[in-house]
Amino acid sequence: MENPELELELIRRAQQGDLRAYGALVKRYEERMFYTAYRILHQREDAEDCLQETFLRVWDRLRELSDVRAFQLWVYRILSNQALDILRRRERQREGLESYGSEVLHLARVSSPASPRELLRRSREVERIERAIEELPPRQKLVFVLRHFQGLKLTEIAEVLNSPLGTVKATLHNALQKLQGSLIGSGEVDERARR
Amino acid sequence: MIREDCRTVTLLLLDHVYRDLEEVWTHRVERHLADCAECRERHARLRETLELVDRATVEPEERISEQFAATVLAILQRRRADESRPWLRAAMAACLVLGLLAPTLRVPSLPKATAPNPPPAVVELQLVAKELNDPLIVELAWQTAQLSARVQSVGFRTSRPVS
Ligand SMILES: [Zn+2]
Repeated sequence: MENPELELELIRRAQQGDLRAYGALVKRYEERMFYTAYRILHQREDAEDCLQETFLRVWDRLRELSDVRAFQLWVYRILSNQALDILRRRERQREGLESYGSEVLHLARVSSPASPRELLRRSREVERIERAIEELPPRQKLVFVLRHFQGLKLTEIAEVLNSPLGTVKATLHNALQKLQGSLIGSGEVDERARR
Repeated sequence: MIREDCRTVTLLLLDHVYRDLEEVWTHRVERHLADCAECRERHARLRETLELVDRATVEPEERISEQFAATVLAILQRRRADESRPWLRAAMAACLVLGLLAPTLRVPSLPKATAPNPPPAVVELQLVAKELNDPLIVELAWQTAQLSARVQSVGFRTSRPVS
Protein backbone atom coordinates (compact mmCIF):
# COMPACT_ATOMS: atom_id res chain seq x y z
CA MET A 1 0.00 0.00 0.00
CA GLU A 2 1.34 3.38 -0.93
CA ASN A 3 2.13 5.74 1.94
CA PRO A 4 1.18 3.59 4.91
CA GLU A 5 2.07 6.39 7.34
CA LEU A 6 -0.53 8.69 5.86
CA GLU A 7 -3.03 5.88 6.00
CA LEU A 8 -2.42 5.19 9.69
CA GLU A 9 -2.83 8.88 10.35
CA LEU A 10 -6.13 8.92 8.47
CA ILE A 11 -7.37 5.96 10.49
CA ARG A 12 -6.43 7.62 13.76
CA ARG A 13 -8.14 10.84 12.78
CA ALA A 14 -11.23 8.99 11.65
CA GLN A 15 -11.27 7.22 15.01
CA GLN A 16 -11.47 10.65 16.62
CA GLY A 17 -14.51 11.44 14.53
CA ASP A 18 -12.92 13.20 11.55
CA LEU A 19 -15.33 12.52 8.70
CA ARG A 20 -13.07 14.11 6.11
CA ALA A 21 -10.28 11.70 7.00
CA TYR A 22 -12.73 8.84 6.83
CA GLY A 23 -13.82 9.98 3.38
CA ALA A 24 -10.22 9.80 2.24
CA LEU A 25 -9.95 6.29 3.68
CA VAL A 26 -13.08 5.14 1.89
CA LYS A 27 -11.62 6.50 -1.35
CA ARG A 28 -8.43 4.54 -0.78
CA TYR A 29 -10.26 1.30 -0.16
CA GLU A 30 -13.40 1.50 -2.25
CA GLU A 31 -12.06 0.01 -5.45
CA ARG A 32 -10.28 -2.92 -3.88
CA MET A 33 -13.27 -3.71 -1.71
CA PHE A 34 -15.70 -3.26 -4.57
CA TYR A 35 -13.90 -5.85 -6.64
CA THR A 36 -13.89 -8.25 -3.73
CA ALA A 37 -17.62 -7.80 -3.25
CA TYR A 38 -18.24 -7.98 -6.98
CA ARG A 39 -16.26 -11.21 -7.36
CA ILE A 40 -18.30 -12.74 -4.58
CA LEU A 41 -21.71 -11.35 -5.47
CA HIS A 42 -21.43 -11.03 -9.29
CA GLN A 43 -23.88 -8.14 -9.30
CA ARG A 44 -22.99 -4.51 -9.33
CA GLU A 45 -25.91 -3.28 -7.24
CA ASP A 46 -25.44 -5.96 -4.63
CA ALA A 47 -21.73 -5.27 -4.52
CA GLU A 48 -22.30 -1.56 -3.93
CA ASP A 49 -24.99 -2.16 -1.34
CA CYS A 50 -22.68 -4.56 0.43
CA LEU A 51 -19.89 -2.01 0.32
CA GLN A 52 -22.01 0.85 1.55
CA GLU A 53 -23.22 -1.18 4.51
CA THR A 54 -19.62 -2.22 5.14
CA PHE A 55 -18.28 1.33 5.27
CA LEU A 56 -21.14 2.54 7.46
CA ARG A 57 -20.41 -0.28 9.89
CA VAL A 58 -16.70 0.35 9.78
CA TRP A 59 -17.36 3.94 10.81
CA ASP A 60 -19.71 2.90 13.60
CA ARG A 61 -17.20 0.48 15.04
CA LEU A 62 -13.96 2.23 14.22
CA ARG A 63 -13.23 3.00 17.84
CA GLU A 64 -13.27 -0.71 18.66
CA LEU A 65 -10.23 -1.19 16.43
CA SER A 66 -7.29 -1.16 18.81
CA ASP A 67 -4.53 -1.92 16.31
CA VAL A 68 -4.84 0.52 13.43
CA ARG A 69 -2.43 -1.55 11.37
CA ALA A 70 -5.07 -4.29 11.26
CA PHE A 71 -7.49 -1.92 9.52
CA GLN A 72 -7.44 -3.61 6.14
CA LEU A 73 -8.10 -7.12 7.43
CA TRP A 74 -10.77 -5.73 9.70
CA VAL A 75 -12.54 -4.08 6.75
CA TYR A 76 -12.27 -7.36 4.88
CA ARG A 77 -13.87 -9.09 7.84
CA ILE A 78 -16.86 -6.74 7.92
CA LEU A 79 -17.18 -6.94 4.16
CA SER A 80 -17.00 -10.74 4.23
CA ASN A 81 -19.76 -11.00 6.79
CA GLN A 82 -21.94 -8.67 4.75
CA ALA A 83 -21.27 -10.60 1.56
CA LEU A 84 -21.96 -13.94 3.22
CA ASP A 85 -25.26 -12.58 4.52
CA ILE A 86 -26.27 -11.56 1.02
CA LEU A 87 -25.22 -14.92 -0.43
CA ARG A 88 -27.16 -16.80 2.23
CA ARG A 89 -30.22 -14.66 1.63
CA ARG A 90 -29.92 -15.47 -2.06
CA GLU A 91 -29.59 -19.18 -1.32
CA ARG A 92 -32.78 -19.07 0.70
CA GLN A 93 -34.55 -17.31 -2.16
CA ARG A 94 -33.17 -19.90 -4.51
CA GLU A 95 -34.44 -22.71 -2.31
CA GLY A 96 -37.81 -21.03 -2.44
CA LEU A 97 -37.60 -20.94 -6.21
CA GLU A 98 -36.66 -24.58 -6.44
CA SER A 99 -40.21 -25.60 -5.75
CA TYR A 100 -41.16 -23.82 -8.99
CA GLY A 101 -39.04 -26.20 -11.01
CA SER A 102 -35.59 -26.21 -12.53
CA GLU A 103 -36.49 -23.84 -15.37
CA VAL A 104 -37.01 -20.90 -13.06
CA LEU A 105 -34.07 -21.93 -10.96
CA HIS A 106 -31.85 -21.89 -14.03
CA LEU A 107 -33.03 -18.42 -14.94
CA ALA A 108 -32.44 -17.18 -11.43
CA ARG A 109 -28.93 -18.50 -11.51
CA VAL A 110 -27.87 -17.49 -14.94
CA SER A 111 -29.64 -14.27 -15.77
CA SER A 112 -28.85 -12.47 -12.55
CA PRO A 113 -25.09 -11.94 -12.68
CA ALA A 114 -24.51 -9.84 -15.75
CA SER A 115 -26.04 -7.00 -17.69
CA PRO A 116 -26.97 -7.73 -21.33
CA ARG A 117 -24.10 -5.57 -22.53
CA GLU A 118 -21.72 -7.60 -20.46
CA LEU A 119 -23.18 -10.89 -21.60
CA LEU A 120 -22.70 -9.96 -25.23
CA ARG A 121 -19.05 -9.26 -24.74
CA ARG A 122 -18.22 -12.41 -22.91
CA SER A 123 -17.31 -15.54 -24.71
CA ARG A 124 -18.99 -18.75 -23.71
CA GLU A 125 -15.75 -19.97 -22.21
CA VAL A 126 -15.48 -17.03 -19.87
CA GLU A 127 -19.13 -17.48 -19.00
CA ARG A 128 -18.52 -21.11 -18.13
CA ILE A 129 -15.62 -20.30 -15.85
CA GLU A 130 -17.38 -17.46 -14.11
CA ARG A 131 -20.35 -19.68 -13.49
CA ALA A 132 -18.10 -22.31 -11.97
CA ILE A 133 -16.84 -19.71 -9.50
CA GLU A 134 -20.30 -18.36 -8.89
CA GLU A 135 -21.65 -21.77 -8.04
CA LEU A 136 -19.14 -22.40 -5.28
CA PRO A 137 -20.74 -22.58 -1.83
CA PRO A 138 -20.62 -19.13 -0.12
CA ARG A 139 -17.73 -19.77 2.24
CA GLN A 140 -15.63 -21.56 -0.36
CA LYS A 141 -16.19 -18.72 -2.79
CA LEU A 142 -15.27 -16.14 -0.20
CA VAL A 143 -12.02 -17.89 0.72
CA PHE A 144 -11.16 -18.42 -2.93
CA VAL A 145 -11.79 -14.78 -3.84
CA LEU A 146 -9.76 -13.49 -0.92
CA ARG A 147 -6.88 -15.80 -1.74
CA HIS A 148 -6.89 -15.78 -5.49
CA PHE A 149 -8.05 -12.29 -6.45
CA GLN A 150 -7.16 -10.25 -3.40
CA GLY A 151 -3.92 -12.05 -2.73
CA LEU A 152 -4.48 -12.46 1.00
CA LYS A 153 -2.33 -15.05 2.75
CA LEU A 154 -4.12 -17.97 4.32
CA THR A 155 -3.14 -16.76 7.78
CA GLU A 156 -4.75 -13.40 6.95
CA ILE A 157 -7.90 -15.07 5.68
CA ALA A 158 -8.03 -17.07 8.90
CA GLU A 159 -7.92 -13.78 10.75
CA VAL A 160 -10.58 -12.21 8.53
CA LEU A 161 -12.92 -15.15 9.02
CA ASN A 162 -11.97 -15.74 12.61
CA SER A 163 -11.38 -19.39 11.74
CA PRO A 164 -8.54 -21.81 12.42
CA LEU A 165 -5.90 -21.90 9.70
CA GLY A 166 -6.56 -25.59 9.08
CA THR A 167 -10.23 -24.94 8.39
CA VAL A 168 -9.41 -22.17 5.94
CA LYS A 169 -6.92 -24.41 4.16
CA ALA A 170 -9.47 -27.17 3.87
CA THR A 171 -12.08 -24.72 2.59
CA LEU A 172 -9.73 -23.43 -0.10
CA HIS A 173 -8.76 -26.98 -1.02
CA ASN A 174 -12.43 -27.94 -1.39
CA ALA A 175 -13.12 -24.82 -3.44
CA LEU A 176 -10.34 -25.74 -5.85
CA GLN A 177 -11.47 -29.34 -6.07
CA LYS A 178 -14.89 -28.14 -6.99
CA LEU A 179 -13.61 -25.64 -9.54
CA GLN A 180 -11.36 -28.26 -11.04
CA GLY A 181 -14.28 -30.64 -11.23
CA SER A 182 -16.43 -28.19 -13.15
CA LEU A 183 -13.67 -26.78 -15.34
CA ILE A 184 -11.52 -29.72 -16.36
CA GLY A 185 -13.42 -32.72 -15.02
CA SER A 186 -12.91 -34.50 -11.73
CA GLY A 187 -9.57 -36.15 -11.23
CA GLU A 188 -9.77 -39.46 -9.42
CA VAL A 189 -6.18 -38.93 -8.34
CA ASP A 190 -7.23 -36.02 -6.17
CA GLU A 191 -10.17 -37.87 -4.75
CA ARG A 192 -7.85 -40.53 -3.42
CA ALA A 193 -5.49 -37.98 -2.00
CA ARG A 194 -8.14 -36.32 0.04
CA ARG A 195 -8.38 -38.97 2.75
CA MET B 1 -2.88 -46.68 -1.37
CA ILE B 2 -1.52 -43.17 -1.42
CA ARG B 3 2.04 -42.84 -0.14
CA GLU B 4 2.69 -40.82 2.99
CA ASP B 5 4.94 -38.44 1.05
CA CYS B 6 2.27 -37.92 -1.56
CA ARG B 7 -0.26 -37.11 1.12
CA THR B 8 1.99 -34.41 2.58
CA VAL B 9 2.84 -32.97 -0.82
CA THR B 10 -0.81 -32.92 -1.86
CA LEU B 11 -1.59 -30.84 1.17
CA LEU B 12 1.18 -28.43 0.25
CA LEU B 13 0.41 -28.12 -3.45
CA LEU B 14 -1.89 -25.16 -2.99
CA ASP B 15 0.67 -23.31 -0.91
CA HIS B 16 3.22 -24.13 -3.52
CA VAL B 17 1.11 -22.82 -6.37
CA TYR B 18 0.42 -19.64 -4.43
CA ARG B 19 4.09 -19.37 -3.43
CA ASP B 20 3.26 -19.43 0.25
CA LEU B 21 5.86 -22.02 1.19
CA GLU B 22 9.14 -21.47 2.88
CA GLU B 23 12.15 -22.26 0.75
CA VAL B 24 12.90 -25.57 2.48
CA TRP B 25 9.41 -26.83 1.80
CA THR B 26 9.38 -25.51 -1.74
CA HIS B 27 12.48 -27.62 -2.47
CA ARG B 28 10.95 -30.65 -0.84
CA VAL B 29 7.77 -30.38 -2.86
CA GLU B 30 9.66 -29.83 -6.07
CA ARG B 31 11.94 -32.78 -5.43
CA HIS B 32 8.91 -34.96 -4.86
CA LEU B 33 7.22 -33.66 -8.01
CA ALA B 34 10.27 -34.56 -10.02
CA ASP B 35 9.97 -38.18 -8.84
CA CYS B 36 6.24 -38.73 -8.61
CA ALA B 37 4.07 -38.75 -11.70
CA GLU B 38 0.81 -38.81 -9.75
CA CYS B 39 1.61 -35.67 -7.78
CA ARG B 40 2.91 -34.02 -10.94
CA GLU B 41 -0.46 -34.72 -12.50
CA ARG B 42 -2.28 -33.20 -9.50
CA HIS B 43 -0.03 -30.19 -9.61
CA ALA B 44 -0.61 -29.72 -13.35
CA ARG B 45 -4.37 -29.95 -12.95
CA LEU B 46 -4.36 -27.42 -10.16
CA ARG B 47 -2.33 -24.99 -12.23
CA GLU B 48 -4.51 -25.57 -15.25
CA THR B 49 -7.60 -24.75 -13.19
CA LEU B 50 -6.13 -21.56 -11.83
CA GLU B 51 -4.86 -20.50 -15.24
CA LEU B 52 -8.35 -20.98 -16.65
CA VAL B 53 -9.72 -18.82 -13.88
CA ASP B 54 -7.17 -16.13 -14.55
CA ARG B 55 -7.84 -16.15 -18.26
CA ALA B 56 -11.56 -15.69 -17.69
CA THR B 57 -11.37 -13.03 -15.05
CA VAL B 58 -8.84 -10.46 -16.11
CA GLU B 59 -10.67 -7.59 -14.48
CA PRO B 60 -14.35 -7.02 -13.84
CA GLU B 61 -15.93 -4.71 -16.38
CA GLU B 62 -18.04 -3.11 -13.74
CA ARG B 63 -16.74 -0.10 -11.89
CA ILE B 64 -17.78 1.34 -8.59
CA SER B 65 -19.84 4.48 -9.05
CA GLU B 66 -17.88 7.70 -8.78
CA GLN B 67 -20.05 9.17 -6.05
CA PHE B 68 -19.71 6.13 -3.82
CA ALA B 69 -17.50 7.72 -1.15
CA ALA B 70 -19.50 10.95 -1.32
CA THR B 71 -22.72 9.02 -0.72
CA VAL B 72 -21.29 7.24 2.30
CA LEU B 73 -20.10 10.56 3.70
CA ALA B 74 -23.44 12.23 3.06
CA ILE B 75 -25.22 9.48 5.00
CA LEU B 76 -22.78 9.82 7.89
CA GLN B 77 -22.99 13.62 7.86
CA ARG B 78 -26.75 13.53 7.96
CA ARG B 79 -26.72 11.02 10.75
CA ARG B 80 -24.30 13.17 12.67
CA ALA B 81 -26.45 16.26 12.17
CA ASP B 82 -29.45 14.36 13.51
CA GLU B 83 -27.50 13.15 16.51
CA SER B 84 -25.70 16.38 17.34
CA ARG B 85 -28.88 18.42 17.54
CA PRO B 86 -31.22 16.33 19.69
CA TRP B 87 -32.59 19.59 21.09
CA LEU B 88 -33.67 20.63 17.66
CA ARG B 89 -36.77 18.49 17.44
CA ALA B 90 -37.75 19.42 20.98
CA ALA B 91 -37.29 23.11 20.24
CA MET B 92 -39.24 22.83 17.04
CA ALA B 93 -42.02 20.94 18.74
CA ALA B 94 -42.23 23.70 21.33
CA CYS B 95 -42.46 26.27 18.55
CA LEU B 96 -45.22 24.30 16.90
CA VAL B 97 -47.18 24.18 20.15
CA LEU B 98 -46.72 27.95 20.46
CA GLY B 99 -47.81 28.34 16.88
CA LEU B 100 -50.96 26.35 17.56
CA LEU B 101 -51.60 28.28 20.73
CA ALA B 102 -51.11 31.57 18.95
CA PRO B 103 -54.77 31.94 17.92
CA THR B 104 -55.84 31.89 21.57
CA LEU B 105 -53.24 34.58 22.27
CA ARG B 106 -55.16 36.99 20.04
CA VAL B 107 -52.27 37.20 17.66
CA PRO B 108 -53.72 35.62 14.51
CA SER B 109 -56.44 38.07 13.74
CA LEU B 110 -53.73 40.47 12.70
CA PRO B 111 -53.11 40.98 9.02
CA LYS B 112 -50.35 39.10 7.22
CA ALA B 113 -47.15 40.36 8.64
CA THR B 114 -44.99 42.63 6.61
CA ALA B 115 -42.35 42.09 9.22
CA PRO B 116 -38.78 43.19 8.70
CA ASN B 117 -36.06 40.56 8.79
CA PRO B 118 -36.90 37.58 11.00
CA PRO B 119 -34.80 37.24 14.15
CA PRO B 120 -31.48 35.39 13.75
CA ALA B 121 -32.77 32.36 15.67
CA VAL B 122 -35.54 31.89 13.15
CA VAL B 123 -33.14 32.29 10.23
CA GLU B 124 -30.88 29.67 11.77
CA LEU B 125 -33.82 27.33 12.20
CA GLN B 126 -34.79 27.74 8.58
CA LEU B 127 -31.26 27.06 7.44
CA VAL B 128 -31.03 23.94 9.59
CA ALA B 129 -34.37 22.75 8.28
CA LYS B 130 -33.16 23.22 4.73
CA GLU B 131 -29.93 21.39 5.46
CA LEU B 132 -31.60 18.44 7.16
CA ASN B 133 -34.35 18.27 4.59
CA ASP B 134 -36.64 16.60 7.10
CA PRO B 135 -40.33 17.26 6.32
CA LEU B 136 -41.31 17.60 9.97
CA ILE B 137 -38.52 20.04 10.72
CA VAL B 138 -39.21 22.02 7.56
CA GLU B 139 -42.84 22.29 8.62
CA LEU B 140 -41.85 23.34 12.14
CA ALA B 141 -39.43 25.95 10.84
CA TRP B 142 -42.13 27.37 8.61
CA GLN B 143 -44.59 27.55 11.51
CA THR B 144 -41.98 29.22 13.63
CA ALA B 145 -41.21 31.80 10.96
CA GLN B 146 -44.92 32.55 10.63
CA LEU B 147 -45.33 32.92 14.35
CA SER B 148 -42.30 35.15 14.58
CA ALA B 149 -43.64 37.35 11.80
CA ARG B 150 -46.97 37.68 13.56
CA VAL B 151 -45.39 38.53 16.87
CA GLN B 152 -43.24 41.15 15.18
CA SER B 153 -46.17 42.67 13.40
CA VAL B 154 -47.97 42.95 16.75
CA GLY B 155 -44.95 44.83 18.00
CA PHE B 156 -45.19 47.30 15.11
CA ARG B 157 -48.87 47.90 15.44
CA THR B 158 -48.81 48.64 19.09
CA SER B 159 -45.94 51.04 18.62
CA ARG B 160 -47.90 53.03 16.06
CA PRO B 161 -50.63 55.43 16.74
CA VAL B 162 -54.08 54.04 16.18
CA SER B 163 -55.79 55.77 13.30
ZN1 LIG C 1 3.45 -38.16 -4.97
